Amino acid sequence: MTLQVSQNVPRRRLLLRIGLLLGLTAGALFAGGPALWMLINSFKPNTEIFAYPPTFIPETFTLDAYVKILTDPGKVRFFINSYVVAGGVVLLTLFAGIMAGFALSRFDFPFKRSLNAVIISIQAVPPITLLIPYFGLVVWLRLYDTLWALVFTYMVATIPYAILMMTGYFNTIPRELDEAVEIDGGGSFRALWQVLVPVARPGIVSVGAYTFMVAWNEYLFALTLTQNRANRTVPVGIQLLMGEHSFEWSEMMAMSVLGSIPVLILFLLFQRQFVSGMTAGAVKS
Amino acid sequence: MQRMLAKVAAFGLAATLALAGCSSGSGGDASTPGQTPGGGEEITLDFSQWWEVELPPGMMRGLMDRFEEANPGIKVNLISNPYSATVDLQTAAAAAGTLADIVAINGASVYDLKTQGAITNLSTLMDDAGFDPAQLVSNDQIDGATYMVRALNFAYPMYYNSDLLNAAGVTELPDTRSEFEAAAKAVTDPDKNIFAWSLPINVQSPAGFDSQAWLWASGGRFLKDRKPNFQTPEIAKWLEFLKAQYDGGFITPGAFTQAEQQKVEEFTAGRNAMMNGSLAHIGGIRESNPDLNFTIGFVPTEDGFTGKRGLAGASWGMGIAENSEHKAEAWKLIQYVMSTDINSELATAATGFPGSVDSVPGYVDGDPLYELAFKVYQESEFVTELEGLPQALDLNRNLNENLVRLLQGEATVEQTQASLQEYWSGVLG
Amino acid sequence: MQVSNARPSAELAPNKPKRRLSPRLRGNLAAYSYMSPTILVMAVMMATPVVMVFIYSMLSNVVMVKDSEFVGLDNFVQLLSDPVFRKAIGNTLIFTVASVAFHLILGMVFALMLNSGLVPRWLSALFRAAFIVPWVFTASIVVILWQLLLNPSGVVNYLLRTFNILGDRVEWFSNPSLALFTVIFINVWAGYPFFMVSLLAGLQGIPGELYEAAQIDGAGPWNRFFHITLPQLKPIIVAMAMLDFIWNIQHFSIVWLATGGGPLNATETIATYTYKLAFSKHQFSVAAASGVVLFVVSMIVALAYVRQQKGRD
Repeated sequence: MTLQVSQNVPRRRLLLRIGLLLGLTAGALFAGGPALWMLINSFKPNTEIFAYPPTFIPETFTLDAYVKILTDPGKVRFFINSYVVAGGVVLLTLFAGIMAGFALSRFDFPFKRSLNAVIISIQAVPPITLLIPYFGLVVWLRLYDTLWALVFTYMVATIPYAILMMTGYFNTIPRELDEAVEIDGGGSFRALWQVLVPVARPGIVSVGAYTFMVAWNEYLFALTLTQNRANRTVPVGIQLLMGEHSFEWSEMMAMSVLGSIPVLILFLLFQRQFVSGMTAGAVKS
Repeated sequence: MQRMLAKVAAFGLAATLALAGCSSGSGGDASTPGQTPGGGEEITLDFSQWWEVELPPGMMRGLMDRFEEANPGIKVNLISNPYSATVDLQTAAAAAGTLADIVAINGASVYDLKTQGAITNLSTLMDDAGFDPAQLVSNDQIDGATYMVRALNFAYPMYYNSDLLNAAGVTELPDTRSEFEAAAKAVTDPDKNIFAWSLPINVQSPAGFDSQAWLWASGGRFLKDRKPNFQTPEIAKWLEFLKAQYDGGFITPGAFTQAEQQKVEEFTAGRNAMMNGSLAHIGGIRESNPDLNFTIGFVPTEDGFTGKRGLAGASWGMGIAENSEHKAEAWKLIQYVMSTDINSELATAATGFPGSVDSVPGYVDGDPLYELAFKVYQESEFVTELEGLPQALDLNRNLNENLVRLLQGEATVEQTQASLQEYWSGVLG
Repeated sequence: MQVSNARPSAELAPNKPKRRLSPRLRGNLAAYSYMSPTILVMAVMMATPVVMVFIYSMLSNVVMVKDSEFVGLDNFVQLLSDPVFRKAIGNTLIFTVASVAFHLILGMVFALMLNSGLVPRWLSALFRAAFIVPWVFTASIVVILWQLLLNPSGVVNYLLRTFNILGDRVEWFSNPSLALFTVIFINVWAGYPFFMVSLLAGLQGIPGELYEAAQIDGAGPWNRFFHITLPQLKPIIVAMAMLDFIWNIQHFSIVWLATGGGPLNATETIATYTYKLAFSKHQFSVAAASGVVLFVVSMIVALAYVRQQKGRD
């Protein structure tokens, strides 16, 4: 559509802008529409959620679901646990991933490729088959029913992506940069943290975002590896609202909304990294 | 840059500290034995169940507190698990030897847990404690021993939306399949989004008895002497009935993937005139939709049927882990839950029927709906045909798969019967 | 010695300055110490369970029975001779390829729109936040949300009927010929933000001068996309596509919660099939064999990726 444009540059830009805005709006509707529906439903009593025709503005507006969650310390604990686990996983994954990415980008060493292939494909064993032996291992390691069990488990899933992204990022950064530090007498460790890491910021943020989401959303292991309410995370908490005889629909929605808002805020805080732009490129020239 | 690094570092530090705090605070204190002030060894029983969320908030904990008072030196740690994950968690925990001392089980998984060696023989424990099994309403046994004690039974009668039926000119509750068919036809109005009933036959988590109830009501059974017996006229008529209902368009669309809960919501929202469902739904429906005018009745039978009606049922059972180090104390807790007063209280709160013969649920008196339900229960034979079978969940799933194939028109009634007979024989021998 | 690596601009890098003490050994030591946190986590958490899955796959029924015996490849034979498993392979391939492709396409389109610089910053920040929304929900909520929306008396069918787009209600999940499409759609919805965010990060790494030069040469937007953006992003795209392939080939939660593999096995994937084998048929050995099959396929993909990396040196 942008191919056949007139020579009139300002008009072309205007058309482009309108097209772009339409595209963005359609995209936002596709992405956010269902979430908006969730938000609306979280303010409805259980029955109205199933009303037909559906009500787009709650007829009976109620904050019941939110009150029920926020006044129950046991449920608030789910959120704290989720943030703690996700935060821990992000931190440790970034640490391990940056180091390994650096090694793979800057060194050649025996078994490099096989090691790389094993790390990537080890996550390909389906968790369902892995579950029972894995459960046994966690019990044996005395990690059962602790948040650490979840942190280490999620790292297995997040490190491969972190390594791939970080290796890729470091590869785009000219070697002269870190070598300058090393010639100045700083070791490769200093070069990594003082020169490479700042330049690779957008990559680090996107790895962090991905890692956070994986840890934030995981259910199967969170359910299996913990048992006391004090160690449950939000996805398990949501599942606990689905009983044998009754589902707490609006509470499920509310818990999901409450959980996602801080995540979105966190994302907004860090998203400057995606636009501040030209970081890596600027260094390159 | 600096600011961002600082942000990351602060966030990470806080997270790590919190993590360390949490895991040292709560890790393991539930299972480590401690000293009671009196000097005796204190033990903690883990009780894993899905009941806590089904009952009024705090109810389950309250019962346990009273048990602890009556039994100094024993503490109970309640572990809540999502109902849908009960079996998976128990299988994994049993394999790792970490199954909670007392586990809530339903009849669908008891046989497999026993085969896995996960749960212990309760008959021995009953003998040791001098407990008379005659106090139990039902004492199902596997290979001559008891592995599960039923705390509560849940009956699955028919729910009827009186307003919808009246509006369609149906003044009397259907008693036979043909009366039901007539009522279904009268009520169904796709333009208004109203259908006679829902038949959730998903393969994800087969629950409820929406198809089975129809067979059992008329005295039909899947098994004879624990062997599959699908090639009978009763089964054929039952399948034809379901097929006719589906082809007639009386069943809510989406049946093949509909979940048990969605069925309840359809009825609660007033879009289904009939529903086969657990009595436990009465409270929930009244709370969600106080305006819904509904009643309870028998599941209609085959025309001309005169025998004793069957009524589908599920249960809340309890077992004791083989790996438990405190089996005698665990039995004490089960005995406590089965004691006359406690069992009545539990039955009242959960709207189930007590598992102890002397207990009387408190809800029966005064509420006409519950009185009706109690009448249906008493006049029927309680059927839990799939409970206590090996791989009961898998058999149920196979039943649903075959029903989908039949309703979709990809298999005839005879083929469905043959296919069921073949698969179930493979499992049950 | 030659210190080669996987970077595209290798020709820029001079050899490492010579050191007095065996540089090769020093380098290896340093590299392995950088790799050590990763190796430690992977070895401790994964080595035993993975080995056990391989052992399970060659034993007669484990977990349920105490004394299992070695049965060689029997479990694999049993698995591959099941027509449902073969159907699951087909579904899994369709599911995986379609998911990866649409994750990539949507992620790319959204990333480019956000990165265009033609909308005011605040607006693009707002859109950026809106676009990642699907990412913050756990699978069970994603499925429940879409079940509410797509249910025969849900919003989507209501809108379709009200505006007379489709005459009758659509059974998105229950219709065997639609079900696979529906679960793929949901999986695409829930998964594209990962690509979008990674590609956005990648776009920041493309030097602006490249575009300026192309603009001076009179290259149109399509030309610029195909000759600058795409080649520059290629390493990221290939890496993500490979990882996404591995994730989706064993994807479980959305499919399982939405349809359980039904109706009529229309959405049966290897993962849902394996789950039923393990937890409702209690055939843990055969389930392990199925896990090994997935592992081997993923391993081949991973090796191909690593080789391709080597080829670019």
